[in-house]
Amino acid sequence: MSAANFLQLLLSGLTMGALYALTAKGLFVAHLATTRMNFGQGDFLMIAAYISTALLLAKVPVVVVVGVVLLCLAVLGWGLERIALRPLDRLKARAGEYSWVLTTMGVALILQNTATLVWGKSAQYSPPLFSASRQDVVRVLGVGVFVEELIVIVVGFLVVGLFYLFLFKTTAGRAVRVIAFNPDAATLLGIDVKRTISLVFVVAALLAGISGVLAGPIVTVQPHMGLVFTVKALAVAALGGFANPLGVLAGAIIFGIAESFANYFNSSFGDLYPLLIVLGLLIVRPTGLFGEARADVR
Amino acid sequence: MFANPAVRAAGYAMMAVAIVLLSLATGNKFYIHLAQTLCYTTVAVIGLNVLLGLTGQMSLGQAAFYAIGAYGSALLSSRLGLPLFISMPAGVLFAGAAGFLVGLGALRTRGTYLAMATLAFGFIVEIAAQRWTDLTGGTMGIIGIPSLDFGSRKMGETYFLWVAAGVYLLVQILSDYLFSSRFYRILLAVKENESAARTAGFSVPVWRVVVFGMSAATAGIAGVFFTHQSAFINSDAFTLTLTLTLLIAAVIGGLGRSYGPLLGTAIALAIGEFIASLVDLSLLVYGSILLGVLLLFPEGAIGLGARLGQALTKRKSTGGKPVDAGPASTARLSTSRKPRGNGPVLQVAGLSKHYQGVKAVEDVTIDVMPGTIHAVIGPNGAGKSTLINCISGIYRPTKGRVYLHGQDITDLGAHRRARLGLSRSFQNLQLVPSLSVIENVMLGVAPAHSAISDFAHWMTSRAYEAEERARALALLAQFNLDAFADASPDDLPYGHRKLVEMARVLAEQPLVMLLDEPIAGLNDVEAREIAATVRRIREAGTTILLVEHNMEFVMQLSDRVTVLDYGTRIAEGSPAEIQRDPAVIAAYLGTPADAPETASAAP
Amino acid sequence: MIRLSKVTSGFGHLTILRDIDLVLDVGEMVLVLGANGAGKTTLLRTISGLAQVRSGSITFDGQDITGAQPHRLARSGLVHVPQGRQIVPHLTVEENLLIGAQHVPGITARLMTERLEAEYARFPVLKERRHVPGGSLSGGEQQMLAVSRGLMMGPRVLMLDEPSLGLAPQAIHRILVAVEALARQGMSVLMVEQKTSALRFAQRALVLRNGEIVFSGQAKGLSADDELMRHYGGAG
Repeated sequence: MSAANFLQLLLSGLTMGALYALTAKGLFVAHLATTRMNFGQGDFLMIAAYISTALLLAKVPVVVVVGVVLLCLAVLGWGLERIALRPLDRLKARAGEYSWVLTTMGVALILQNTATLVWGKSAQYSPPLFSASRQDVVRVLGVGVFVEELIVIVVGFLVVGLFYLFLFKTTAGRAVRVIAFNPDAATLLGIDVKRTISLVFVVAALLAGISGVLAGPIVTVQPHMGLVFTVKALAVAALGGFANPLGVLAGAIIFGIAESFANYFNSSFGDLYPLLIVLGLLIVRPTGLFGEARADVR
Repeated sequence: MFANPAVRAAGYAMMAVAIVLLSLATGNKFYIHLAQTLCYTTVAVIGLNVLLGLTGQMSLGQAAFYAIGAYGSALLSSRLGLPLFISMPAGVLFAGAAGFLVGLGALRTRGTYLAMATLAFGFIVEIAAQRWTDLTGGTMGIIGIPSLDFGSRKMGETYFLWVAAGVYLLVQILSDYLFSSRFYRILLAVKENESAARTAGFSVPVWRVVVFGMSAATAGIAGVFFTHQSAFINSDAFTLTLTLTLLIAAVIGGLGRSYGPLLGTAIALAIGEFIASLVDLSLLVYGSILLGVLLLFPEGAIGLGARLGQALTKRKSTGGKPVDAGPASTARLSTSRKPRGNGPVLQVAGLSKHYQGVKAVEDVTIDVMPGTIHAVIGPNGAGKSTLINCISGIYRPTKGRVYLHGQDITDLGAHRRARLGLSRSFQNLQLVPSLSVIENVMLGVAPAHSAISDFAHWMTSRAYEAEERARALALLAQFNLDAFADASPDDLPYGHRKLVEMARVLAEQPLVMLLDEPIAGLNDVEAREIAATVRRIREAGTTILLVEHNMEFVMQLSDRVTVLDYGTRIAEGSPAEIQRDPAVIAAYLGTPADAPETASAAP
Repeated sequence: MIRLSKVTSGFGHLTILRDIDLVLDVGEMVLVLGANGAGKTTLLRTISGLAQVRSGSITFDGQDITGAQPHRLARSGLVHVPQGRQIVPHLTVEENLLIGAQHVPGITARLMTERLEAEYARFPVLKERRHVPGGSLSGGEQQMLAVSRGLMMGPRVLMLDEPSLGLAPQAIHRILVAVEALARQGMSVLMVEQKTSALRFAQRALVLRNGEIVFSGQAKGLSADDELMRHYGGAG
C-alpha cells in the first residue's frame, strides 16, 4: 500500500467516522437521559438525506437546505418521543420492558415506507454540498483528496464539539446529566424532566439530521440505507461505552478507519469485519473499550 | 392452560384430527400451503414468545437463526445429498448452536445490549447470505433443494403439512408444559426479580442462555421447513423484516401467553395476505401495527380477550387446586437438613467490603452456632446490609472468607449458596409480582419429581404438582396465609408480604436462614407475629442470622448479638451483655457520645 | 406554610401514608421520627409531589398544591433535599450548587452570585473545593453541598431527609446547627431524622408508624421519653 493510498483510506475512514460519531451521539444522549434510544436513528438519517438531496437537486441554497432539514428532524424527534416513547410510561407494568425497541422500529418502518412512496425505490445521488462536483479534489501532502470528504470531517467534528458544549456548558445539557444521574433528584432541583427528555430526542434527531445532510453526497441515498447506519452507530456507541461521551467519539473514529482499511483489503466482506470485532469485544468487555470506570453516570 | 390433563389431551387430539381431516377434505393447494406456513411459523413465534414474554430478553436476530436453519438443511440436502431426516435436524441444531453462542456472548451484556447485539448479528448474517454467493447463491438463491414430499407428487404437500403440524403440536405441548410447570415460575423470577431467583437457587445466566438457545432452535425449525416447502431459497427471505414479522406475530398474539403465538401468527399471516395486494404499503402497515398494538393493547389479542372475559365473569382462581392437602394439617416447620457436628454452622472470618474507598464493612468476624438466633444490629449505615449481602453472595467481599459448615463458600454465587442451604429474605422484599402468593412460595420448594417424570405427571395426572402445592400451602397455613394463596403478592398488606417471603425462604429447607430487617416497616402486632414465627423456626432446628436495627425485637429474640458501627464489630455477646456494654450504648443510642462534642462545639 | 389535611398517599398499588394531618408554620422546625418503612420519606415525597396523593389536600403558603408537578413546587420555594444527598458525581461542586438555582424563574445572575457567596460563607469547605467533582467529596461535605444546593433555590420551606445518614457526629452537628440558624431566620424546616440527638434543635416532633402519625408534640424533653422511644422502634 502506498503512502497516498494510506492517506486516502485514513481520510475516508475519518469521514465515515465523523458520520458515525454524529449518529451515535444521538443514541448516546438519549440513552444517557432515558436508557432508551431510537432504534430507527439510521432511518432519521435516511429521511434527512432524502430531504436534503431533493432540495439540493431543486437548487435550493445549502443554508436553506440545512435549515429545512433540521426543522423537519426536530419535529420528527419530538414526535417520536411523544408518540412512540412517552405513552409507554403511562402503561407502566403493562408495557414490556423493551417495548420501546419495537415502537421506535415501528416508526422507522413507517419512515422507510414514506420515503419509498415519495422518492421511489431506486437509489439517488445527492449533489455535493460544498464543491462543484462530487469528484472535486484538493491536494493534501501531495495526495488528491475529495473536498466533500474533508468538509464532512471538519463539519462533523465541529458539530460533535458543539454537542459537547451543549452537554457540558449549557443549563439544559447539565440538566440532562442530572436526569441521567437520577430523574427524581432532578425534579427536586426544579428540572422539568419531561421537557428535557423531549429536548434530548430533538437533539438526537438533529444529530441524525446533520449526518444525513453530510452523508447525502458521500453515499447512495435509498430507502433502506437506515439500517446500516443504525447498526453501525449502535456498534460505535457500544464500542465506546454508553456511559462515556469521549468513548463514543473514539469508538467512531476507530470504527470508521477500521472499516475503511478492511474494505480496502477485502471489498466483499470488509465492512462486516469491524462489526464482528465489536461483537467479539463486547463479549470480553461488555461496557465497551473505555468501560465505565470513567463513566459520566451510572 | 387447562389444569385437567384429559381436557388438554383431548384438545391436542382434536387439533391433530382436524388438521388431518381438513387437509384430506380440501383439494385447495393454497390453503394447504397457508396451513403449512402457519404451523412452522408458529413454532418460531412460540420460541420468541418464551424468550420475550417469560424471560424478558429482546432478540432482533431471529431471522438469522431462521436463515442458519434454512441454509444448513438446504446445503446438506442439495450439495451433500444427505437425506432430509438428517439434514433437517442438523439445520435445527446449527441454529440452536448459533443461538447458544450468541446468547453466551451476550450473557454479560444485558437488556439493551442484547437487542443491539442480536440486531448486529442479524445484519451480519443477512449481508453474508447476500454476498457469500459461493455458499448461499446470494439473491440468485439455491435451487434443486429436495421437497419434503415423501416421494408422493399428489399427496406430498399434505404429508408436509402433517409433519409440520406434528412438530408444531409437539412444540406447543412443550410450551404449555413450560407455562404450567415450575419452569414458568423460574423464568418469571429470572425476568422480574433476579434476586429472588438467585436466592431460590437458580442461576440466572444459565436460564437466560438456555432459553435464548432454545428460541434460536425454534427459529431454525421454521427455517428448515421453509426451505423444504418452497424447494428454493434466496437471501431476500432473511431480512430484518422477517424478524419484525415474527416479533409482530408474538406481540399481536399476546406476549407471555401460551396460545398467543398461534393466534398472533394466524393474524400476522392474514395481514400478510392482505398487504400482498398493497405491497407498496407493507412497511407502513407493519410499523403501524407495532405502534398500535404495543401502545394500545400491550397484552395482545389473548390479553384483550381475557380482559373482556374478566369484565364479564369473575376471575376463577388460577391453577389447579391441591387435590390432597393432607400433609398440610400435620406439617411442621421442620427442616430435613440438620447441621452436622457442633461447631459453628456459619462463619464470617475477617470480612471487609470497600466501595470506592468507603469501608462499608471492615474486618468483621462472626461465628453462628447451630440452632441459635444470631442477630447483627447497628444504626442505619453501620454496614449491616452490606454484610448480609456479602454473606448471601450478592456482593463479593473485598477481603475475608465465609464458611458454611467449614466449607469455604466465598467464591460461590448466591444461587450456589442457596442450594447449599443458605437462604435469605430481603429488607425491601423480593417477591415475583406476576406469580401468585403460593407460586412464590413454590419457587423455594424442591421439585417432587425429576424433570421427565414431572412432565409425565403433567401429561397424565390431575393432581399435577399436588405435593409441591401442598407443601407450599402447609407453609402458608403455618403463617396463617393460606387464604391468600392465589392472590397476587401486590394485593397483600406489607406485613403479609414479609411473611410470604419468609415462607419462600423456609420452603428451601435452609440450613441457615438469613433475615434482612425482618420487621422493618411493620407494626407491633405484625412484628410480634414475625418474632413468634422466627422462634418456631429455630425450635424446628433451623439456624437464623438476622440483621435488624430494632433493639427491642433483637433483645427479646436473639441468643447472641453482634453489634456493628461504621462497618466494624464493636461488641458481641448475649443480649444482656450487649445491653450493658457502654460502647454499644454510646454508638447506638448516640446521645452520650454526641454530647461532649456538641457541648464543646455549640455556640 | 405547609398544611396537610387527611392526606392518604403512596406509589402504584401501594398506599403508604394514611390520613395525615400536619401543619408547618413559618420559621418552625419540625422533626419527623419513625422506624424504617414507617413512611417518613414518603411523607416528604408526598409534599414535594413525587408520591401520588389518593385523597386529602396539601397547601403551601395558602395555595392548594395537591397533585402539582414536583419541579414547579421546587421552583416556587418548596425545596426537598432527598435522602442519600444525590450529589451529581461528575458535576463540580459549583455546578452542583448552580444546577437547581438555574431553573428558578426570574433569578438573576447577581442573585445567584450572592447566594453562592452566602453558601460558601456558610460552609467554607465548599468554596475550597468548588472545582472538584461532587463525587469526590466526603459524606459530610456532600451533605453540606446538598443542603447548600437546596438553599441556592431560595426556599421558603426546606425539607431534609435524614441528613445525618452515614455521617460522623461532628458533621451531623455542623449541619444541624446550620439548619437551626436558617429556621431562626424564618425558614420553615421539616426534617426526617433517625438520630434522636436532633430533637433538641427542633420545636416540634412527630412520630410516624406504619403510615400514620402516632405522636405529635413538643420536641424539647422528648429525648428521654420512654413512650416515644417505644413508638420509635428503639433506633437511636
